[in-house]
Amino acid sequence: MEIIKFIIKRLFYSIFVLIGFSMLIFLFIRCIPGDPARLALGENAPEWVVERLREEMHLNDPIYKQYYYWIKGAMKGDLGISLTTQRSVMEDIRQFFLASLELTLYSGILMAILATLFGTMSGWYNNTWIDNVFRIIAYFGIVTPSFVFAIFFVLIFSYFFEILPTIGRLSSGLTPPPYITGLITVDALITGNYAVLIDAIKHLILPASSLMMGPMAQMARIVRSSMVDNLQKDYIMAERSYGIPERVIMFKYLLKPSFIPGVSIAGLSLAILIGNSFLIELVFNWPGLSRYGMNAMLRKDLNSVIAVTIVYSLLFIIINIIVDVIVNGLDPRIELGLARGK
Amino acid sequence: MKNNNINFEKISSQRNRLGRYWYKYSRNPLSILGVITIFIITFMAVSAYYLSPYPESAGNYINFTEASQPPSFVHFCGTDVFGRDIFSRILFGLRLSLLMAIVVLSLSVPVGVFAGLVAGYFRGKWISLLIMRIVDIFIAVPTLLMALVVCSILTPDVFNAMMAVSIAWWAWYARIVYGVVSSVRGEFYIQAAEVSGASTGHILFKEILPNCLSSIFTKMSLDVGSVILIGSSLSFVGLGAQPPTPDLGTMVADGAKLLPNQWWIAIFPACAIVIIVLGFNLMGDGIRDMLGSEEA
Amino acid sequence: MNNPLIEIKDLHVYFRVFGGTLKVLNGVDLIVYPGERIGIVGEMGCGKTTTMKSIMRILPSPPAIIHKGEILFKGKDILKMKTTEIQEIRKKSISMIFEDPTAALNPVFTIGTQIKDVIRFSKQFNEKKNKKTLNANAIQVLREVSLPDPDRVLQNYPVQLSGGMRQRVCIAMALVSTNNMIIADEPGTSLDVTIKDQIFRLLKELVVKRSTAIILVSQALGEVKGMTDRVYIMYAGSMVETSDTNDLFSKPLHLYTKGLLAATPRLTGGGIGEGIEGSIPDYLNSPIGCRFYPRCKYSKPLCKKEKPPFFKVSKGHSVACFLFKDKVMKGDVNEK
Repeated sequence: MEIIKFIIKRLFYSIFVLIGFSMLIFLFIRCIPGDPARLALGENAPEWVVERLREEMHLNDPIYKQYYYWIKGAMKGDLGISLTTQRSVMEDIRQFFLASLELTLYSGILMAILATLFGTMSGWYNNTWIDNVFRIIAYFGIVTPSFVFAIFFVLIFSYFFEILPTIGRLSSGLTPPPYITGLITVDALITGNYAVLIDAIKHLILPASSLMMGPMAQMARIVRSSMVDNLQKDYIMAERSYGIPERVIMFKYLLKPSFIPGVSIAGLSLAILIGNSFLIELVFNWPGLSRYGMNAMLRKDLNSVIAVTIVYSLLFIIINIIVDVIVNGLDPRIELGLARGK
Repeated sequence: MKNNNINFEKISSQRNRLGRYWYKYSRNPLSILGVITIFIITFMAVSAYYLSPYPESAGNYINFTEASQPPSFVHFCGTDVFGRDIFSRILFGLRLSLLMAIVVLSLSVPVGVFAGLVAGYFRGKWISLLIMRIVDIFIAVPTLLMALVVCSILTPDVFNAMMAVSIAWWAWYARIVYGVVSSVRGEFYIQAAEVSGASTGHILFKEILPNCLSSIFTKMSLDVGSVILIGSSLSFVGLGAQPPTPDLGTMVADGAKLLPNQWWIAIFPACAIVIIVLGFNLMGDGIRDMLGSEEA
Repeated sequence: MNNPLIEIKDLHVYFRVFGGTLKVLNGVDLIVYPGERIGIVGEMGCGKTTTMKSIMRILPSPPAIIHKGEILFKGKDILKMKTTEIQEIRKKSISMIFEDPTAALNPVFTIGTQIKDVIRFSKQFNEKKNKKTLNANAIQVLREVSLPDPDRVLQNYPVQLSGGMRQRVCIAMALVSTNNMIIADEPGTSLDVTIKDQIFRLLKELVVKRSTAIILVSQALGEVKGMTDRVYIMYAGSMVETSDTNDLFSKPLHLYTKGLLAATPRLTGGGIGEGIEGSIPDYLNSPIGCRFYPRCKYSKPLCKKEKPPFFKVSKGHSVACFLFKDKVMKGDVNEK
């Protein structure tokens, strides 16, 4: 019950933040010099055509009116027309969102698993060679931009070893499976089309790995440092002195408290991951929302930019709420401590 | 005679403190490595003009006879399609990266810290709520995304890129400082200062701010690397420095199209980015360890 | 007398820190016989907890270094044992109660989970270990330490219990995993005075009932008076006096002990004693010789050069001070 109230409260608050954010973006975009209508139609378009587009886009109206039109449309699900694809932005989002979701999902899962694994081992064996090796790898993970990883991976696995593809979600010549969930891997699995499944996975490996290396390293460091902190804690000493075997201490009594900062950082890491997707989808030509958004930004397709940003903000907000719920579930001190009035 | 004694004590206590900081910092050899790396890079960047073997490569230089040469003794990192020496361009590119870090932090940190101080001190009043809601809005989105959006709206330009990253960055400092100030707010010495008539400015800057300094410095030293990372990401997609200005991110982007044959055009700038961010991160970690373990 | 349970011989433990090495323990000698109740009294920083943690081998290993010495448990040197052997000892023979019960309990697990795990891995309760028996045993164990409503306590998290209850839980867990000895490191320090009294009485009752040896570490002489048979007074890293508890209070020998006794305010007038001039030495640049030397009124040049060994003055009463060199009784220092 507490959880439900908590979630609802957070959602309400987040909607306000989202609205505020949309106002901010709107303000930014509409305030800068330059004429979006002219940009859209190009240099050679006659003036009266441009003027008509300006009317359509309400560019001559005062700013609050423009915002009002936009919000009205957004409530109905109409986010305007994309200047690049000439379709409704909503359509575009629908088409591209799932591709990004698939990539981000796998990347995120991979990140969480590897970070936990590396962080825990590094923390448990801290100051040994295992720890030092992991720390060096983690360090390079943090300092290397995602696109550099992309380049290196492409160089090694596509050009040198020639085992992994670099473009898109599926090799040309393969038909994608019927649209059930929109995630090619899941659809292929459901329909039993294993050839497509394997091909899709192959296409996922390089982009997903480039995406998650940086955030994974950051998360692994936090897991490691919280492990090392907790190793010094009195209760670990106490549990040892009560005769609880090392194995149990490591996998049970140390893991859970160490995990709590790890989960919090997972939310932040996912944010970085999403940010990276804008670069990676461009490099690997992945037909996802981030590539679409990136192109929109480069071409100043403002409707699309606003829409993509809002979508991702919403996603980020949901992720944060989930993370908070999990952290509350793991650490009883938060709720119970409050209940005792401490 | 009396003056002499006092000076002596003051110097020795200061020296002791600096010495202690240095001792703590230097415990980790990696931190020393970080500082050395930073020194070298800064030196190289500052004296790029004098160090680079082909300074004209930083500008509108075209020499097709020398184009696309692999690394050699003549050109340490090879040349690009226009015949420009990559090593020289990297040296000049370092300048831009360092400049971006300096500008972004100089802008975003004071703004963020001030906002956090005000919000934390006047907690509960409308100004505090307003500031923190604005902070929440800016934090609602991943930093890279925010910088990309702002940057794409403006004309692609080094200066605009720095503006964009600064805008994306200030809110995090506000949040950290808000946290520290909120916890320090209830301490007795603050109430004592208020009661004895100290001005708000004095309280904010002389009493409260020093408590936040270690968090701020820690975050700043760790942030330098991140700012350079994000900056290079922006220029990778073309939103930063425009040609022919040499910038590490743009160089990687240009070279990426030419893989794998002319690998040096992309790889060397990429390594440069990694090394510079690595150096700053090592140094930042050292500073964090040094400031954090004051309980020793 | 039968063989000692624990015998610490000339233990030196150093800590490496900024500016050098802290020579915290410089030659600790201690003996505990089976079933004995020993007290160790000393002020903050004198090395009591370090010694106890060395016995349990839970010292953080950098920065601590065991420079030299032996800790014999039933004749075998603990400091040289492998991890598996130490774990066996911790499981079955020795356990420790910490000063701060809040820090000693894992905050994200219920009391029930923690106790049941201790029971599961201990060698007591030889019946088959399934959910039902574990639960029953856990309740029984909590009843022994007089915790009301054990069922509810098992489901609680540590944050939901009061300080006294948490300490009782720690005592319960310590009792499960020990046959031979409990080390109680200032068990009452973080508790209210009335609760502290209850805890001490509980501890004594349980220890006497099971004939478990106990080392009670404390800062206050008064705490050990009713609880222990024998007392060690510790100062600046080594023992300076040891005797039967009653003897210590009636016939203190070492100047430090006398100072400690005098410092206890009495209800029967006399006020508070004058204290001892000076403070504990700097472990970083510790002098050779007696560490009490700078504060001692009766010091001699010999005291500055050599660390005094234990001189047995009467049965069960020895003191590490050169003043008593000529009053030595014949026989082994540590003989009971």
